[in-house]
Amino acid sequence: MKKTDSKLLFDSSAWIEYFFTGKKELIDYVESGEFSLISSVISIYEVGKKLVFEKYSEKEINDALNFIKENSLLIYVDEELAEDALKIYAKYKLHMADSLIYATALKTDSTVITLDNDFKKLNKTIFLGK
Amino acid sequence: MVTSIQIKESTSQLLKSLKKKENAKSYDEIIIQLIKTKPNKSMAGVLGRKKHYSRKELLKGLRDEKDRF
Repeated sequence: MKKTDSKLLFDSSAWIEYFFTGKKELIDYVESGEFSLISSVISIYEVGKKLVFEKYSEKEINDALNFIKENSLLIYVDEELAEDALKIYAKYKLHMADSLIYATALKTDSTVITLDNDFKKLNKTIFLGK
Repeated sequence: MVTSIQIKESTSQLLKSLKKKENAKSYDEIIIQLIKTKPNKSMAGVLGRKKHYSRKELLKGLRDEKDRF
């Protein structure tokens, strides 16, 4: 990764991987203090939903979501972002959440950190999956 | 003494969001806070201690596969 890529947009899948496996690469991104972490507000829903699905306690869910809120900058969906996401859908045919998250990355000029195959071929994306 | 700097629109958006989030009085205050922030505690792997999840299991149900319409 180039030194200039200091703004990282953590996709929900990256947060899940961090919380569940503690993959070293993700620990470096989150805990080194060298990167500005950005999250879409959508990830609050998606990560929370996954933890509800896996039957984690309310405290565990709150701890995880608070960690995201405290250690990354949340970007909200507004009219402009929704229109940007629409353009991304038209170009790449991504689903709604993917389009909104990728639009967030482009708007903040950040690099997407993800394990989601749908992002694999997009620019400014670091794909950590197989 | 104050000075002006030029920043990208994308960076301006981030600063506005953070200023609101932190209820800060000025951008200066926020920029100072931004320098080398680190989590107070690690949460790496804490949710995976109860059970081992495969990559496929981890991603299952995370994102809705279909849009509403």
